[in-house]
Amino acid sequence: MTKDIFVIAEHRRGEIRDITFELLTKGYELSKDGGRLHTVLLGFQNEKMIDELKPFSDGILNIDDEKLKDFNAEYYQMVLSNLLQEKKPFITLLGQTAFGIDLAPSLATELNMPYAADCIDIEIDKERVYTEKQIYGGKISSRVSLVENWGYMVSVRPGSIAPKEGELKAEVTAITSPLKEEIDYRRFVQYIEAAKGEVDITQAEVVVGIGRGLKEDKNLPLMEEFAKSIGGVLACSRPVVDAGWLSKDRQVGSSGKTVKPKLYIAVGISGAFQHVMGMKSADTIVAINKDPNAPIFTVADYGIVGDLFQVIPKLNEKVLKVK
Amino acid sequence: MEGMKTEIVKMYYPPAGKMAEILEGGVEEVSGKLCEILKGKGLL
Repeated sequence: MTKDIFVIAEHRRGEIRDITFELLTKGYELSKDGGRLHTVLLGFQNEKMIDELKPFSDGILNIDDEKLKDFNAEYYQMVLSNLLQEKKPFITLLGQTAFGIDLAPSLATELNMPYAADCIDIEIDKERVYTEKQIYGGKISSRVSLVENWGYMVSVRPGSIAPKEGELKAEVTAITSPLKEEIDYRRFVQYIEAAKGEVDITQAEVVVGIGRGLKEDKNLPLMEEFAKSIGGVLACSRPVVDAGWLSKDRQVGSSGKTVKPKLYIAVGISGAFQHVMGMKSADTIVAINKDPNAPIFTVADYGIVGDLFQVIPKLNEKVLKVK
Repeated sequence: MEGMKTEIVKMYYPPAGKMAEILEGGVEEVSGKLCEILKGKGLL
């Protein structure tokens, strides 16, 4: 059995996605157990991406085929099921992204391979692979073992590994694409840019994020007034968009926008990782939540444990006096 | 269970990491404290 680690590179429109470098950082660490780290790159006219990826692994397995220009899980699975069965890597890493969620379960099933999804860490201990996962909205962690097999598949939550600069010099190996015929039951059609809203929350220096703690949309004016007083814009977590209280262009998080304001005030937001992914890089984070155990307090710099309907009016009053 | 390929070995509370500085006091007091902090950081 090899100890090789494979990282399935993720790219879009010719740009390597950040998750790839996070996976390569973890892959490098795991490969120190006696294996080699390989980046598996499926795409078309991959030269520029290869140059970018070279410092991060021992080898790049390059599958260059026009059918692989844009992501299509069906094509990817056809290529990877052949490759993984032939090369038999110890661990194959993918991102817990739209890409990985689409591809990994089906691929692992085809290969009859143990698969751990949405992991935040991976460890090899005496030939066994263990992963760490967060469950119940991040309030509980679990250690998961994968049953013995020739290879394992793990998808990793974006943002859980800090990427490091690469210092390697990958040897590039061209792999002939096994794809022969076009598939007609699933095709990539086009990228659609998200519509621009009336406010660009990504450019604001102060963002007030609201969550389901707001309870109902009739409470929105309270938050709009506060956001205005503090010189910020109103944003939200996904439940607020799902409830139809604010439009999608206000959503912060992994399925919304990423903001990096000077100040982010999270009001009535529990701190699910999907939301945190989109705001954790703010310079200063304030959380206001009535649940003292809300995960948002582990991300925030300052916290107020209290009822937002009492805190916000008083805070608004104080802010107006200071400004 | 036949076919099971992963197993939860243990469940535990995540180790305490970074924690916000929780402002203590009544609504009036914590609102005042937060304003002072934000003012001190040039955010107000």
